[in-house]
Amino acid sequence: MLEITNLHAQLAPASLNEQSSRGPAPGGEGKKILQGITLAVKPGEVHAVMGPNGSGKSTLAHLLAGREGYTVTEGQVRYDGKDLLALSPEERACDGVFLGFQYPVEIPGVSNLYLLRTALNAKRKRQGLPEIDAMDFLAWVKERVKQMKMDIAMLHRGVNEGFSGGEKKRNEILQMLVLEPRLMILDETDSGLDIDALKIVSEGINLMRSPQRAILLVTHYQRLLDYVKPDFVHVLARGRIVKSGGPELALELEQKGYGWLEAA
Amino acid sequence: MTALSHYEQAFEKLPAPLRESRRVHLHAFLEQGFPTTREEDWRYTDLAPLAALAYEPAAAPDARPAAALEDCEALALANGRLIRGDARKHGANEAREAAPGIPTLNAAFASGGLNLDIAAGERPQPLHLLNWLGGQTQGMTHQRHRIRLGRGAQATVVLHDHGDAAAFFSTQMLDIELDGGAQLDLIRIQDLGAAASAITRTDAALGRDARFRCLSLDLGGALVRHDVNAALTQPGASAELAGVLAPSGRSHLDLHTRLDHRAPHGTSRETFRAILADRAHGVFNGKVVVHPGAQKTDSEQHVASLLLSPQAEIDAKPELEIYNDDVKCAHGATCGQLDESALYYLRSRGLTLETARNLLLFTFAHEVLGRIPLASARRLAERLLLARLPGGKALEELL
Amino acid sequence: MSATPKDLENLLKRREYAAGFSTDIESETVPPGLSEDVIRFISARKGEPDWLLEWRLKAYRRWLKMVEPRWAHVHYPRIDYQAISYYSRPKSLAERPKSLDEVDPKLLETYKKLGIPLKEQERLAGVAMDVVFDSVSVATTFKDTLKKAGVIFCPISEAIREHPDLVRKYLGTVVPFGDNFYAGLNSAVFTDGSFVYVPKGVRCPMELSTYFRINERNTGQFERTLIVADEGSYVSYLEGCTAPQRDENQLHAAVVELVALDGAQIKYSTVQNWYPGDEEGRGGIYNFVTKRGDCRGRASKISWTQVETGSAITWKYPSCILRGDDSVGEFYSVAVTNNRQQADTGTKMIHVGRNTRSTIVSKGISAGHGQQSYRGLVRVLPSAQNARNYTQCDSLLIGGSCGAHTFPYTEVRNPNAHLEHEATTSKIGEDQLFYCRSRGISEEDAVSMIVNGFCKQVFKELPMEFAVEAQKLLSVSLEGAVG
Ligand SMILES: Nc1ncnc2c1ncn2[C@@H]1O[C@H](COP(=O)(O)OP(=O)(O)O)[C@@H](O)[C@H]1O
Ligand SMILES: [Mg+2]
Repeated sequence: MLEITNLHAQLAPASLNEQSSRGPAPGGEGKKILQGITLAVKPGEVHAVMGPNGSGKSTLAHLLAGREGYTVTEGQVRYDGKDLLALSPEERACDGVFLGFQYPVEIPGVSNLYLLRTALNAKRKRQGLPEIDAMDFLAWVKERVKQMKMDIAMLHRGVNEGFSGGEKKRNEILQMLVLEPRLMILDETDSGLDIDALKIVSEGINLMRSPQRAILLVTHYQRLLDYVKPDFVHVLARGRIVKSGGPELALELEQKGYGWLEAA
Repeated sequence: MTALSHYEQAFEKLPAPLRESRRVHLHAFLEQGFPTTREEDWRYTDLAPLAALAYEPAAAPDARPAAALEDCEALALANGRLIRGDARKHGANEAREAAPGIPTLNAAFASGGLNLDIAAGERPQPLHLLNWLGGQTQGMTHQRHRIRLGRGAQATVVLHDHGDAAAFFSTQMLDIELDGGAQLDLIRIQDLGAAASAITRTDAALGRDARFRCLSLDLGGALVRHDVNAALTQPGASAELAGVLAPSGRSHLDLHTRLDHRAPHGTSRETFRAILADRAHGVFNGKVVVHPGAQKTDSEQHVASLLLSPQAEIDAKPELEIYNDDVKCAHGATCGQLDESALYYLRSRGLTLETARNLLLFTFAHEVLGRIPLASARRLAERLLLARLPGGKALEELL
Repeated sequence: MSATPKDLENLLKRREYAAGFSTDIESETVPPGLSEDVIRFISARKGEPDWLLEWRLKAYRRWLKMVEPRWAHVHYPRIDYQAISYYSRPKSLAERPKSLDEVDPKLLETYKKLGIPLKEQERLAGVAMDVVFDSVSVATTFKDTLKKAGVIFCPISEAIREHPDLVRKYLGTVVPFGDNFYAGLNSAVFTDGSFVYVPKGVRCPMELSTYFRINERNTGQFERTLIVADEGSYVSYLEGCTAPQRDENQLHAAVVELVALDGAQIKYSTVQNWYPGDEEGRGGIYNFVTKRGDCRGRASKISWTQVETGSAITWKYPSCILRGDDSVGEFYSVAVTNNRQQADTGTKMIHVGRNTRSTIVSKGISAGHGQQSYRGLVRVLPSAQNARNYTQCDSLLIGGSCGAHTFPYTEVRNPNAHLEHEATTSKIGEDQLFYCRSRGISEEDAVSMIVNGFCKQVFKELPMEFAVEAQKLLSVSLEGAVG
């Protein structure tokens, strides 16, 4: 489903990139962040990506979702056999790639409901389906809001506007449930959640597990992996995958930290 | 400067008693003529094209005022004449004295306008002034409005200028007096035709603890200039000015605001958003003056602009003049593109770049329009704005 | 008890002008007045070529038709331009000294009082000085080191003689004589100033520095500075100004032109400490200066840093024309107005080329009856794709009779431009003062600390030697700001 081969990426020079005026901070131009990532994800699998702060996890996630401001200098990414990097962010989304943001963006004035409907219809359009009936849509969304134990009233508030950190993360999972993507990349969705919220979020993720779908979980903590059992665990350090293994690797990391791997 | 003789001739057609009392204004105007770009306040707005044309006082027009807002008392005027509503709220207001320049022209010719007097403590139903202007190419109308709120009175007034495609010229002066504790919400919607030129000026005097809120949507015209001035003359007064400027086509739209803090403990807030499409030229000048003795003044001003086309231009100047040390004043001005991270977020959810852009464009304006306290007026403003935005139709369901 | 405004004012009054003395040297001064004859006299005295005399005369004729600008937020009586003497030089310098030893000891004494011991400069490695005493340069040091690097650093009158082609190629190309009233006047009558040329690829081996000083009564000082940084070169230039105490007002109308070619960088720092007048506003310098840099080449950079504590009236807008693609303009400013001082200062950033960037940081401190205005223009032309500007402009008020004003102009004609402007005005924080005092710091030190912190962003742009001097100057300016 997803094949990343020897991916190298660095920050794009700001002045040459018309779109990235708000992207990379000035001064970091040309900084190498990913230095040869190879990773294959098959349908039905859950991969956990762990690693110290600044190792490039979010960068990898954003590259897969199509954020501008990075230059791929080597390697490639195939999704369903197609060149993923050639697609715009919206094309990727409509083809079933979903990124749960580490820092979800606030968009005051645009209601959550409006975003969800527009997004869902965009995807249906790409699939050649007609727009969803308004009533059906509402029912579809409301059911999922309940699953996430959120207040229905939030649908009419601005996207993430004034949400607490935990509410934002739940909202990301809600969007995922509504849009039903096939490849889910969840960037530290568990950070900043209390125990109850972590359970709700995990249940939401598990609802989406299926033989046709795959999940890439970026996390620092074993506790999420207790709920969402990964098939593989990878450790990212300084832009490379320095170790891969089964679920037991995560437990080992919990005990030993990252130091022993980074030194290697 | 061009000959202003046609204003002289037009003046002679006014009724004799009017001529007598207003001749001083006419002379003052003829002496100075229209302001020029050499004056700092007119640096970016050139009135020469306007001054070059011979406008005639407009005859009885074939007016089609817009529909009244459902929850408001309506007063409909056509080129200053009352066509619907309470005649007691309409009248020709005389100017005692007029500031130099356009106000003298207005004072010489002013015909009927709003004349609203609200007694102490009263809270009448909101008033919707449907001010229709146009009907005649090179026609002109000059209006003088007055709003007075007694102690503790509260009112909402929607000043809604609209018109047709005629190359029309209008001036409007609005005098506002707020007694102690009075609260006025003034909602200014300016939706004139692309060929219309308009110069308006609002002067508000705020008494003790009075609150003045002015929310506006300006869609431009051939040459449009608004001055909104508020003087906080007594302690504890507060003023909030907020608005959206959204000129398109070849429109020239200039908004000048001036807040005079003359007494202690005054608060002022200003938020403006400008969206410039096509070849539009927008000007925003926001001046805050804190006079000696106006201690504990708290003032903030923000203006943000977006250019949608390589031919559009914005000139923004947020000014502070402070003659007192015990103040907290801030202003900010930005000009730039839409928030890239918000754009990316929306796209990562499957929205096209175009939809995402339009959406953010609308929310950019909505941050201000959303503050309009009267729901019906807010919807009107949003609808009018969407009609002018690229892809606006598709966003209408947002409302 | 925290400081009351009265206390602050009282302490401010005690500030005295440390540089207020005058040197007793016989001068050769033309009688007051301006005419074509005076200009011919100046030009002949300096042995100038014909083209320069012609240029001066053209400037003069143009100037006669210009009107003095009144738009600045400053007030002063009309200046009588016929009452000013346009040429003055100490007699003992009729022949330029060959070395420092030949310099009139009285002059050297003067500089010593100002804290620039010329004799010791050679030990203060890295600083070469071209000192202007009234209108004539008196000494230039470190010529050898510079010569080896190929850097030309000399009085502009000498450059006109020795490097006429270079001067002719660049003079007046950044600030043409028709630019504004004072620049026109300067072009007609300028007497001396500095010239710098840094050749291709050369990093100037030391900071270049000039100390200006107005000494003679009733003499206007009209220096002209021209700095050209050729492709890929770098130069840092320091300018310090001080004038003796006088009752009457003196006019100072300088012009500074900077030219940066492809990849070149110029850093221009000023510490301005001209006599500000007394508490009642008597005397003091009128500082009406035109400073402009032209980022003519791609990826060039011009950076202005100024610390303005002196002058009765300041009218000054060091600007950058960002013509070359990817060029960068910067303006860092600290300005202090105290007593009756008035300042209208700021910058202009004109974005012409693609990907041009500018940064403006302005810190104003107003005390006593001081009136201070920031006036800035950021203009983005249609050609300036992806231009960016960041402006921050803060004012600190000390005492209830001062004023702080902000007039930022932004003119944008390109949809890809990205501009951000922020401005704040507030009085010195009472809780900050209290906090410091509750930790045992005296009020005076606390004010000094807070003000220095307020200016830090600018001071860190100054070269080391200057940063220390600037901080000291600021403390002296605000000495006893609380009592
Ligand atoms: N837009 C950016 N601007 C500057 N530096 C960046 C940017 N994005 C990432 N980096 C740098 O790249 C490295 C990897 O960052 P990131 O992918 O966010 O790490 P992680 O998610 O693993 O904590 C860090 O050193 C970070 O500072
Ligand atoms: Mg991260």
